[in-house]
Amino acid sequence: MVDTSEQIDALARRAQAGDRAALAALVQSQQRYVYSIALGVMKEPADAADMTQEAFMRVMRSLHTYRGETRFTTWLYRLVTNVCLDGLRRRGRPVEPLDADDDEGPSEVVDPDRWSRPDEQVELRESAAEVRAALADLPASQRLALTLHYFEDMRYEDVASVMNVPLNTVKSHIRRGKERLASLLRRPENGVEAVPCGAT
Amino acid sequence: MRRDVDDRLDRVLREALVVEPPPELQARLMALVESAPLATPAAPERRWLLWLDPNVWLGLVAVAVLAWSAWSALAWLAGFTFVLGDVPEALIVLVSSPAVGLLPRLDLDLTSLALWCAVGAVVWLLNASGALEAALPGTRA
Repeated sequence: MVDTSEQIDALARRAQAGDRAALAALVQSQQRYVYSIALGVMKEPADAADMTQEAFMRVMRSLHTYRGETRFTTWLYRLVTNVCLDGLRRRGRPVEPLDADDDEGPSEVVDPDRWSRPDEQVELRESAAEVRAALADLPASQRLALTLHYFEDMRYEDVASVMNVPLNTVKSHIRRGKERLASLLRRPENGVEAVPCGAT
Repeated sequence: MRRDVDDRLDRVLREALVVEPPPELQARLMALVESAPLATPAAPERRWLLWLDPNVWLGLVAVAVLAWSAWSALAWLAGFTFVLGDVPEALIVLVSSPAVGLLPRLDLDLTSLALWCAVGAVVWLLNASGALEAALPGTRA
C-alpha cells in the first residue's frame, strides 16, 4: 500500500527510470484520485473514465518531463485537471473558470442561523444519490476544490497549485462549497423536503 | 453540535468525492501499463553509452576524412591559376577538325549553340581587351 507523498515520489522516479512494476504501483495508487478529479470536472462517469484513461496515457508519455519541482501528485492532478478541461472544450461543453468568484450562490442558500442554534439536532440527508445531486449543483471550481481537499495529504497550498488559483480563492471555494452542501443536504425540520436544484 | 455536523459532512463528502474507478476502467489502465513504452535512461548515462556505439566512431572518421579532403581541395584551388588560351586558334582547330562533318548528324539545339557562341565571343572580346587580366591579377594570358 502506497500512502505517503514520499513513497509516491519514489515510485515516480523508479517509473521514470523504466521500472514497469513501479509504474503499475503508481497507477494503482493514484487511479481513484485521478478518476475522482475527472468525475468532479466531467460529472458523467463515462466521460470521467475516458478522461482518466487519456490522463494516464499522457502521464506515461510525458513522465520523463517531471523534474520533481513539485510533489508528483501535484503534477499529476494538474495534468488531469487540464486534460479534463480540454475534454470539456472538445465536447463543446461550457468550461467554468476555476478562479471564478462564486459570490452569488452560497449566501442565498446557506441558512444564516445554521451555527447559531447549538442545541438543534441538524439532520443531513446522507444517501449517495442525494449527495451526488447536491454536488452536481455546485460550481465546477467548488466541486474540484472540495474533491482535492478530501484527498489524503493534500494541503490548501497543493490544491491552489493544482487549480492554479490563489490560496485564498481555494479557501473560499472550499468554505462556500461546504456551506452550500450543508444547506442543500439539510433535512427540513417540518418534513417538507427541499430537493437540491440539480437533483434528478 | 457544529463539530458533529462538520464531521458528518466531511465523512459524507469524502465518501462521495473520492471514489474508486469502475473495475473495467481499472483493467484498461493496467493494460495500458503493460503496453506502455518504458522510459529511456537518463541523459548522462546515455551520453556515456554513445561512445560505445561503433557508428559514432565511424561517423567521426567520416567527418575527419571529409574535412581533410575539403582542406586539400581548397588548398589546390588557392594555388590554381587560370589560363586562357588562344581562342581564335582553338576555333580554327575546331572548324578544321574531322568532327565537324559529324555535327549535322547530331541533334543540336541551335538556339543554345548560338547562345554559347555569343557567350564565347563576349569572353574572347573581354580577354582581348585585357579586362580579364586586370580583374584576375594572378593570371597570365
